[in-house]
Amino acid sequence: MLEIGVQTKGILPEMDIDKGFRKIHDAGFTRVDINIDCFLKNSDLYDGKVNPFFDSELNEMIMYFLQYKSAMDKYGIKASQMHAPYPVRVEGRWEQNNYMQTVVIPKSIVIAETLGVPWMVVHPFKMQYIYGRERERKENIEYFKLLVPMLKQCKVGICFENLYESVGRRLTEGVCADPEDAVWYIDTLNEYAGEELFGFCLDVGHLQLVKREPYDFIKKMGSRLKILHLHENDAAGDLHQMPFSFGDKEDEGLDWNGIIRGLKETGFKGTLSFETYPTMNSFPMEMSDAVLKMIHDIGAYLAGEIEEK
Amino acid sequence: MLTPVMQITKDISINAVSEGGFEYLELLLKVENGKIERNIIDEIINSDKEFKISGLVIDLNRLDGSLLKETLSLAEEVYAEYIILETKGAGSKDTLMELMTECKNAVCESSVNILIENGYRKIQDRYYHNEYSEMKNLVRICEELDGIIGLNRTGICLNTGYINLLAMNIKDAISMASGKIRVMHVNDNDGFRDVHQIPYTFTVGRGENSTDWYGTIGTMVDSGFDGFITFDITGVYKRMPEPLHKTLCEMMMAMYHTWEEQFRFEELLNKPDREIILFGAGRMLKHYLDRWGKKYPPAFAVDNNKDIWGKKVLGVDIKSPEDILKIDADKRNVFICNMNYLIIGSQLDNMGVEYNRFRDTYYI
Repeated sequence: MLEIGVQTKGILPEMDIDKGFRKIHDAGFTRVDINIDCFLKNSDLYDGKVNPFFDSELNEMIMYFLQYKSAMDKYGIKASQMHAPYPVRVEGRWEQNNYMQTVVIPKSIVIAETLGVPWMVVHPFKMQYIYGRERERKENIEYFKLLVPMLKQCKVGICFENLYESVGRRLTEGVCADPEDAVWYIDTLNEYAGEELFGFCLDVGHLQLVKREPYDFIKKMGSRLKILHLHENDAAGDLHQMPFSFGDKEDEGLDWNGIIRGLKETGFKGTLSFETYPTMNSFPMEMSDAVLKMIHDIGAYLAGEIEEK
Repeated sequence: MLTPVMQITKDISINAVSEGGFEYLELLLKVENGKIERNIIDEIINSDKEFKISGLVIDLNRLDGSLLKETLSLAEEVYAEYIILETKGAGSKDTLMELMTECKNAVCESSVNILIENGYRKIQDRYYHNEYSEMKNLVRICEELDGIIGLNRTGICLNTGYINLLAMNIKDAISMASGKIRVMHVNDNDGFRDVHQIPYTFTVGRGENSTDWYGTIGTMVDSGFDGFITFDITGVYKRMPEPLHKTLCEMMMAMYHTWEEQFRFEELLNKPDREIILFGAGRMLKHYLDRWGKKYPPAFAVDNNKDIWGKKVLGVDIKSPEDILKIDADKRNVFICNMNYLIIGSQLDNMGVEYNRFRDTYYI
């Protein structure tokens, strides 16, 4: 049976850990996407501000996240995935990049192991608009190969996500936005590793922004597709809003029927995980339980459609 | 009395609406071959659910004297309080005046109120004002109609989505029509298309609202609105699969209750036998004092910043949070006046203190 999950961002670490997981549980979710990126925000990294969270001793960090594990066990929730801090590479910030690649990501892998996370999203380097796809591929492969021994030891896999780049006021395709690019990365790295340590995270909202057809993309990824980021937008901004909240006709907005068909035909057995923190943010806080329940029920509906014989 | 209503079309199941917690329905009437289609009306009348019909909505462009009389008669049959005349694409107001003159007797004999909804004109994909778009015009139209009828029988239905489409100042619109608004039709859009979607879902960045819902509700509160809040979200019914409609209605009811808290906030403050204690000595304290300070002055405020304990901020004594416990539970009325509501709420929960929250976002 397909499980339904939601990201912890917007709930944790703002709330008390136990209350946060109870809130997620009460809405009906059985899986979570652990946002460890909350502890080192992307907006700060783009500004070159690095807080000392990841300077902590690893065993201190493990002790902190064992509280998460304890609460998750209490409420019968498992982590289907984790999102590592990003960006891992910012043009011109070489010292910061080195810190991200040699300290933050490895520690994140260990935290993932602690929490029993099977797949962690690590954003590959976004370089193609400035340097071209060839150099982008070369540098990404060089870096991610270095992580293979640690991934094997911790029994954690890395998922690449389809990304976009911002150029002026427009969005353009980024690394893995092209499904053939994504397939190449995953197959190349898995061949090197000698086992399936790399997979794919499909962000359906990002697909919408770069005008890729969901069914086609999912079919091309096949069994490489391990985890999902589900949300919707207006095809202009990465809004991470609730599915079905744009347009006024069944065939408008994101093609959820295509997503359902693709996941059904490829035999997807993972978690329908929602990346909808901005949705939670857009409604009054008093409505958070009702909004979370709506998101969960959308997931349950999609699961039913995917699993229907 | 403030009342939540769901607008109904054939695209939503009335069972879902009932299970979602709505008691009141507003029906969007369809006119075919000069006659009102009764299917949905009969479905509701024959349903085993205990619905009340708050009102009926009909397109002014389709109305002639006989249809208006039929609509009034139908409204009486289902005990509706009002009919709303939709004015999208409507021509000159003279047509409405002539219609009302023709039907004056029927209107006088009926107990049903006639509400005029703000509208727009659409030319291909462009939206423009029409004679019914601006509130100052609607107020004058209502006065003129009441003059024809000879009774105070008209009012305004404010459609938030249409205000948005025409890039109008909604707070100004509400203030201008204050006292005449009987129904709010709440829906949202992207400013480009009339999609009747869920409020709060049009955003920029990471959830920042494009439509100022907090300001809209705050201005409605300040205007003394006490009527029907109708969720006019027919676009969502078509977009969202039917199995999700019950949860959708539950979410809309939660939205109504969130807004209702603001309309009823003064009731929480007005407890003369209790001391008002505010948690937070920052910007939100100032906003509380600006809004409520004269009528409901706090006995003192508390803050986690020990550097300001024993001092005054904006004339209010600041104490330690522990000082809350020196007041008996049935003698204190605690309000969080800080945006870190979750953290402070947890702190008060751990202290065993009951509290409410002052939300300045509706009023700044």
